[in-house]
Amino acid sequence: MKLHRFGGNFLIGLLVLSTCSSCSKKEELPQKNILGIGGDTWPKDSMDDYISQNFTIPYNIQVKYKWDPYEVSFTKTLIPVDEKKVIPVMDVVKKVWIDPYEKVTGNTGFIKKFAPKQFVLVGSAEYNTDGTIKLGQAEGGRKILLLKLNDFDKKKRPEVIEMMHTIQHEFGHILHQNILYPEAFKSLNPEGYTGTWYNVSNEDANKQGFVTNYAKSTIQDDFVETIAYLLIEGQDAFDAIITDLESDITDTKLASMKAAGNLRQKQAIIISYYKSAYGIDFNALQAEVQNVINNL
Amino acid sequence: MRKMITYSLLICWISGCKKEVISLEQPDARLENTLNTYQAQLTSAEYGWFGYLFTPSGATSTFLFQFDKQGRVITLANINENTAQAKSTGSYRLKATQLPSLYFDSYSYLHLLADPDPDVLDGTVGAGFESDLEFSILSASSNQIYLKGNLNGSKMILVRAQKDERVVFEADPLLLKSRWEDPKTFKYYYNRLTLGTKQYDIVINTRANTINFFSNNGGFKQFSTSCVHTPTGILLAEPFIDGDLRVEEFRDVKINKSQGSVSLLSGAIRGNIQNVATPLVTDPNAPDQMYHAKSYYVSATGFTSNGTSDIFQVTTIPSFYGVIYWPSYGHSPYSSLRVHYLLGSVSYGQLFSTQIRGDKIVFSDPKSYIGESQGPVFEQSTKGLTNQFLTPGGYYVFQTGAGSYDLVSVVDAKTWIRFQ
Repeated sequence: MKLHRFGGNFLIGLLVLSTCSSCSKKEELPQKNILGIGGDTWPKDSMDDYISQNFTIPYNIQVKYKWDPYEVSFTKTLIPVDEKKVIPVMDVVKKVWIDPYEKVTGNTGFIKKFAPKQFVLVGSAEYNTDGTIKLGQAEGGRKILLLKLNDFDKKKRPEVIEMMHTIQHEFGHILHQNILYPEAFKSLNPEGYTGTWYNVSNEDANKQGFVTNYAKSTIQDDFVETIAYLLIEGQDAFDAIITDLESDITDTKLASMKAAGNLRQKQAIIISYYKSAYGIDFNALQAEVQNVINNL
Repeated sequence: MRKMITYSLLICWISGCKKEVISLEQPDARLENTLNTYQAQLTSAEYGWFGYLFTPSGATSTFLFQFDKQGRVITLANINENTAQAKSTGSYRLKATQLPSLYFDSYSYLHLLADPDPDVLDGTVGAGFESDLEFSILSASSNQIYLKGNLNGSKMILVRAQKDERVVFEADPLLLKSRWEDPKTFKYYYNRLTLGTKQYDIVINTRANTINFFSNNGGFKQFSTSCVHTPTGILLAEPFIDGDLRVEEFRDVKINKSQGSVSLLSGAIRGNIQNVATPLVTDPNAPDQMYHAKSYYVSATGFTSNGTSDIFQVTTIPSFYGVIYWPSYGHSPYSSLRVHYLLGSVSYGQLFSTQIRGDKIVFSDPKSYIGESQGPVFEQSTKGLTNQFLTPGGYYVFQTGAGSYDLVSVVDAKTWIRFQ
C-alpha cells in the first residue's frame, strides 16, 4: 500500500513535470532556407542576360551551361561547355529551330506549349561502350541535352547540320510523345529495326528505306530522324537518296525501289501528321529552315 | 582487483567530466558558413594558388589559379604551349555535396586532362586522362587545401602562391619541366643524386610525368612515382622511402648549367645532383621487359647526343609523327625502327634483329630499308637514326614509366633515346 501510494505520487509528479516542460518549449523553425534550394546562383553577366532575354522570359526555357553532374550521366566522362560557345550555339538554335516554327504558325504559342523547358549544354560528346557517341538526348519532353558543343562553329556547315539535326530529332520525340504518329508508319519496314544499328552504314540504311543508320534504331527514332533529315539536311539531300536508289540497276534493284517508295511514304506521312496533329504546313516549315541554314 | 576497479572508476569519472561542445546551429547554416569560409580562403590569396594535379592515369599538371569573389577563376597551366602562354578564364563554385566540393563549372585548362575527346590532348577515347572537374575538399589549412576528384579520384593540392613563386611560374610555366631535360646542362644521361650518405641515379621523364630513383642496394633497386613541377622544385605523388630517408619534395632547386649540377633541399637535407658519365647501377631485367611488354614504342624526339636533342633532326620531317620501335615487327623474327609521319600512316625505316644480353639490348643484323621516305634529305636523317640505333655496343635500358623506356648507349653516355 505504501509502495502503491509512492508509485502513484511519482507518476503524478512525472506527468506534471512533463506537462510543464512541454508547455514551455518554443520550437523555432529554421530561418535559413535549405542550402542550394532553388538552384545555384552567381553574379549574372551579359551571357546570362542574353539567355534570359531570348529564352527564359519569352519561352520559359532554362539554358543551363554551368556544370551540374546531376543533369548528365554520372558514369560517363563529360566536360562543361566552353563559355565562348554558349551564345553562338543558342543563337543558331533560336534561328534554326524556334524562329521558323513561329514564322510558319504565325504565333509564339506552339513553341511555348511544346518546347522543352530546359536545355543543358555539355562540351564533349558522351562516349558509349559500343564505340558510338551520343550527341544529344531528350527526356520526357522537358529537357534537351546538347553534347559536343566545344567543337561548334556556325561557319562550319556540317557542325551546324549535326547539332540542329540533333535538336529537331529530340523535338520530334516531344511531338510524337504528345500526339502519336500514324499507325501506318509502323508497318512500312518493321523488319529493319535493330539494336545494333551502328553496324550498318548510312548508305546501307538508305538501301533499306531509312534516312540514316540511326533511323534503324526504333520506329520512334525512324520517325524523328526522317523529320530531322527533311528539315535540316533538306529536301535536296533527301531527294538525292531517292534518286540514287531509283538509279540502281544491279541485282538489288527491287529492294532499292522498295526502299525509295518507303522513304516517299514516310515523307508523305510526316507532312500529313504535321497538318492533322498540329496544323503546320511541313513544306513551308522545311523551306524556312533551309532558308535560315543557308544564310547563317 | 580492488585497485583495478578503483582506477577504472576514477578514469570513467575524469573522462565523464569532459564536456563535449555540441553546435546547436542549424546544419544548413553550418554548411553555408563552411562554404563561405572556403570561398573566403580561396579569394583571399593575393597571388593565387598553385594547383598540383595527379590523375589516376599518371598524367600530372601544375596550375596557377586566381579565384575572385564573382565566381570566376583565371588559369595558367604547364600542359602545353597554349596553356602556358595565355590565361584562360572560367567559373567555379563551391557546392554542398557529400563533402563540400569545389566545381570548376565552365571549360578551362583544367578540363583538358578530363576531356574524353582524344583529339584534344591525345588521351584515351571516352576517358581522357581520367582527371576531374569536381573536387571534394578533404582538408584545409591556411596555406594548403587537399582535394579529391569526385568522379575519378584524382588528387589535387592547392598551395597558396607567394609573389616570387608566381613571378617564376608566369615567366615560363614550361621551363619548370624542360629545365630538367636540357641536354646542354645534362650532357650525360646519368644524374647522381647525393642525399646525406646515400646516392641514387635519378631520371626525370617529363613526358611520362615521372621521377625515378635507381640505386645499388644489394642489387638493382628502382622507385618510380608521378611528380609535378613546382616553382621551387618537384613534388612527388608518393614519397620515396629508403631506410630513414624520406623524400617527398625537392625545394630550393638551383641548376648550375655550366657545371651540370643541381643543388636542392629534401626536407632539411641539403643535397646535390652531379651529371656523370657512368651509371651507378644498371637494370638486369629491363631489356627483356621492354622487348616483351609492348608491341611497339614511340619516341617523340629521336636521339639526344652530345648536348643536342634530336641530333638527326627527324622531328623536322614534314608531318612527323614519331620514331617507332617494333621489337617483333609483324610477328616476324625481325624488329624495326621507322620514322612515321602523316599521323603514323606512312613510315620509312629498317628491319634488323634484337638481342638481349643481360643488362644490355643490342640491335644488329641490319636488313633492307622499308616504307616510303619524304625525299633524299629525310632519307638521310632516317639513316643516321637507324645507324646510331644499330651501334654495336648496344644500350642499357632504364624503365621510366608504365610503358616508358630509355635506351642509353653503352659506349657513350652522352647518347640516348627516350621511348615514352
